[in-house]
Parts: sequence; structure tokens; C-alpha cells
Amino acid sequence: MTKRPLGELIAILLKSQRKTQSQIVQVLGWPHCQLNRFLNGHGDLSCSNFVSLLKELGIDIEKQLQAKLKKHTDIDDASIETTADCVQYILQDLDSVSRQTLLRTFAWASDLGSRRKMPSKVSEILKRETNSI
Amino acid sequence: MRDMELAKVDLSAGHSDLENWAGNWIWRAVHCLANSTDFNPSPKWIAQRLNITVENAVDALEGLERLKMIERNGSTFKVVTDWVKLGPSEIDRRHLLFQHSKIALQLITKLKAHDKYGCEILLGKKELISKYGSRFKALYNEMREEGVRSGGTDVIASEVSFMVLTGTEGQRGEQ
Repeated sequence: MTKRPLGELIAILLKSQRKTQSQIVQVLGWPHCQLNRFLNGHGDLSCSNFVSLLKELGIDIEKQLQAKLKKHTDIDDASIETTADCVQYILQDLDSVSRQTLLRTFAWASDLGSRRKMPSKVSEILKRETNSI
Repeated sequence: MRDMELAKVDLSAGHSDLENWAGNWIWRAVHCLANSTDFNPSPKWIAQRLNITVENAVDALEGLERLKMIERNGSTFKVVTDWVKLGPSEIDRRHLLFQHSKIALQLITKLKAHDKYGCEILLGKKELISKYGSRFKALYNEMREEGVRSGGTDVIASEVSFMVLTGTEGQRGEQ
């Protein structure tokens, strides 16, 4: 079976929901040509725009991701014993920007106050995990 | 420049654009940079100027455009709304503090040893905060106007907050 381009799939979804391109761009505040180009395979959308488009069509990717992550990272209250457990509990409960902000603050404070240079692995992971701020 | 009218904005609904603007220094800095005389709408230029990723620059430009804070003007952007007042009359006070906490911490982590920073602890009545708080606002406005007059192109950030340390949480007001 031939794999359809994403734009084509979205166009089919639009039709199935009896929504017009004009309705969608009005809600999202986009120029009309932006959606049209994407649906016809002549242009791409940024990640955040694609997520917003899907949300408008009833597919909440962020919610699905959070639900999946929650299953793997939920800490049972009874198993919290150490400071590290508390930190993990707090971090998992925050929205992405808040979590990144706290991690960035930890890293900055550590850089200023620690007698040791942060291991490069730690710096790399923190840099990757805080790439939105 | 017209101010954007905000009526009880809902900042609690996930990652809304306004939440990104209120809680992410990048969106604010790109908004500020768009006023610069040497502004280049290229996300790569913006990314280099602010030491961020191109993706973050694109995200900010698109978000600011959706918020109608900037709009396309030929091959570039122009600032439509210079500032947005987000105070206790617009959103819940607790959520306002939550958004401020993110920006304040992000800005603190930008401090280098040679930057200017300070902390003051003094005696007084809490009414002093409203009185002098408005003077700080006026000072920021003066600073902003002088920056524009002098053709400055650096993006400068500052954070200020006041809190009463004495008394119980109930006496100090709802947290």
C-alpha cells in the first residue's frame, strides 16, 4: 500500500470532519496559503504548528505524550524516601517550561557554587533537556 | 502602538501562546528585538543574536504573530503591540506569580559575574512597596525610552520583585 503524505492525510481528515481550510486558518490565525501549501504537499509546517493543527482536528499529541510519560514516571507517594525522589516527584508534576526552568537553575547554581566542574555528560543531558528556554 | 486588550485570559489551559509569552524569556526577547533598528527577520539571525536555536526563534516569531504582537510587513515583521499588561486584573494572582517565577528564574540564570545585580532588605510598612514599585516602573519606562532614543540594539533584561518577610503567610496575604 502506498504511503500517503501527511498533508494528504490531514486533508482527508478535514473533509471527514466537514471542516474547511478557511475555518481552520481562522481559528489558528494562519495565512490561508500556509495550510493550503501543506495540504497540497508544497510546503512544511513547523512542529508546533503541526501540533496546533492536529489539536484543532481533535488529536491532542501533547496530552497523549504526557499520558504515556505519566505511566512510566509516576512515583508512588509511598516510595518517596530520598531528596532525589522528591526532586523527581516535583519535576514530573510541572509543565515543560517550568521543568526546564528549574533544571537550568540547578545547572547554573551548580556551575557557580560547585568546587567541581560538571561532568560533560551531565551538561550535555541538561542542555538537551532545557532546549526550549 | 495599541495595547492588546486582555480580558481574564485563560493561562491555565496547557501550553497556550500567551503562556509561552508570559513564561518564556525567548518570546519576550524576540518581541523586544523586533523593535531594534537592525532587526533581521531571519530566524538564523535572531538565533545568533540571542544565542538560541533556530527552531526556538521560528517558534517565537510564529507565536508572536498568532498573538498579533507582531505582523508581517513585506519581507520583515513590525511590532503591533509594544507591551501587554498582565496583572492581577487580567489573570488569577497565583497564576501570575507562577508565570513570573519562570521568567525570573530564567533571567537569573543569565547572570554573569560582571553583571549588575542587587538585593535590599529594609524596614518599613508594606505600603512602601506600592509607592516605590510605581517609581521602579517609571524608571524602566525611562530606561526603555532612552534605549530607543540612543538607537540601542542590545536586548537587556531586568527582574524586580518585592516581598514582606515578616509576619505569617496569612498576615502577608494569600500566597
